[in-house]
Amino acid sequence: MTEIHSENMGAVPIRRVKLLNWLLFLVVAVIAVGIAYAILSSGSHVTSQQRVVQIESEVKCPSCDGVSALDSNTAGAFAVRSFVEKQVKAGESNSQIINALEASYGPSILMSPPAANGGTIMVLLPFVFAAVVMGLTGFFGFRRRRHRADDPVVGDLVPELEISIKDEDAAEKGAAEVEEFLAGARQDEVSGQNSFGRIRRSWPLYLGMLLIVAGVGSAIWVLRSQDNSQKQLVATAIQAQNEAQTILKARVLANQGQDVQALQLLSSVLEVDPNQPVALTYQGWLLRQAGEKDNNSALIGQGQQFLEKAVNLDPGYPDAHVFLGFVLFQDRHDLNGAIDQFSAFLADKPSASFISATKSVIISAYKQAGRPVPPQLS
Amino acid sequence: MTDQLRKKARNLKTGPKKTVRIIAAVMGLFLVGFAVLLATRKPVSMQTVASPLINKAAPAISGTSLDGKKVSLGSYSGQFVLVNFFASWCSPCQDEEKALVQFSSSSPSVNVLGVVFDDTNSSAAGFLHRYGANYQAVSDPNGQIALSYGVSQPPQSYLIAPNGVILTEIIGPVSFASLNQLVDIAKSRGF
Repeated sequence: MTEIHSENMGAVPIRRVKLLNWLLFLVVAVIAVGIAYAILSSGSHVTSQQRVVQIESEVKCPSCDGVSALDSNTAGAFAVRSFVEKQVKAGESNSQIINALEASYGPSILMSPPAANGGTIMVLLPFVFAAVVMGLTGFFGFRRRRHRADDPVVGDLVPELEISIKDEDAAEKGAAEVEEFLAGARQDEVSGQNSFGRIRRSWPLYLGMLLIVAGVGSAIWVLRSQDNSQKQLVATAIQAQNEAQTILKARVLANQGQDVQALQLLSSVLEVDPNQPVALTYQGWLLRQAGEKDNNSALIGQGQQFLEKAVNLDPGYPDAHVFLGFVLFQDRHDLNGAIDQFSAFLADKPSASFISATKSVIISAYKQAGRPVPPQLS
Repeated sequence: MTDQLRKKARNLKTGPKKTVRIIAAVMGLFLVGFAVLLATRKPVSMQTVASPLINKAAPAISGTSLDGKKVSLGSYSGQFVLVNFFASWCSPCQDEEKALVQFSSSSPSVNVLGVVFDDTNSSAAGFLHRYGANYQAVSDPNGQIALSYGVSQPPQSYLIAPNGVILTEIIGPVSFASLNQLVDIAKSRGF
């Protein structure tokens, strides 16, 4: 009798849960008040100079990688600092100043940029997931509790037994009734497994799973469609920009002696744009260099073809002329052809450093051909 | 006796074990989805973000040209303008300068306006003279013009429509062909 009373289900746990709920509420309330106070009190009692420093520390130096304008001494950082100081003096708020910079550079100017390009979804997804799981758990918990309350198997078991056990003679009868009820419930359970009832009861779970799958699918779709929805003008500019950057990388790699990697990068550009004169020029020059190194005339021939194509496509590109001139002079011993290319190169007004790097070979070609050396080379 | 009954009753219910299994399955599904999302997402370094200024009014440019005249973007109103940020010390600027000069001389409907980026006026003037550039270039001693255009490093160019709206941003050296292509596209779209 006493044992059964002490196991009276629900009374003690509910009290504990209520207490825990109140404690949780209290903690959340304290945190919320703290955050609100911190937000409301920030900005007050701050001098202009402190504001300048704070903004400069929140904004990147435009030409640096991950360095704040405060910590950098580049021209870009000076420009940012000058702008921030001017705006603070003009009475602009921190957010107005930062928004103005963001309007020019985008969120990448911020040291801690907000998640973009699907990043918001990526950040929110775990919270959505947690909410769904909590919702499901809560639902199952509620359902179980409701079943316990309604279901005589659990909810009414103890009182029934209490009543039954009061009467010692009826104790066994009570137990037998419970056993009988359990058998019936077991039967119901087995039949329930074979019916749609179980599926029907689990609809929130399936709905939750469907929502998650749909959410992930939508996120992927959004990310993909963002890439595809670039306007043609922007896409063309970005392609040109990517090409330029890839070619630049290839040239750096070539200067470091990493010809294979450089050729791979140039090939990737030519796959997209087979008539890119700069890529053709450097592809041709690197192939020629490789052919010369391995004494492979086929490679030199391939290189020459690339260079000739580049010259035809962009006759005003000096690099193509000078490299083709080198091939004609050093590999084909075609002095006249080489001089034509070198003349075109010089007419294209190349940079002084480029002339300086190539002039010994060019002068040598002019001398062998018995022609006067152009004044730019002297 | 009652403990046993109660256990039996609990076991009959589809209770905690099943719920845990279901939640674990949902978590697993979520993790797989999340992994797919991460795996198919472009790395940040590969993401190209267009300038926020595109399709917006071009920030004002006014100042003194390298030959001492007053220059302003507003004076080109009603015409295409290619604003080019450059510096004499910048190697890619040397690569593109010839194309720019060719473009400015062969495209009368487009004005090129240079903006000096972190350079002295004399060096910038010498640079333009060496390539035979005959377009205007304005000095930007405090870098405020570059800042208003979101320029990080030269060369960087902006094609501005006759109505003063920025059509596109080109980061890195331009080529004659790509500039002509951009202007052609812009014209075909009614700008």
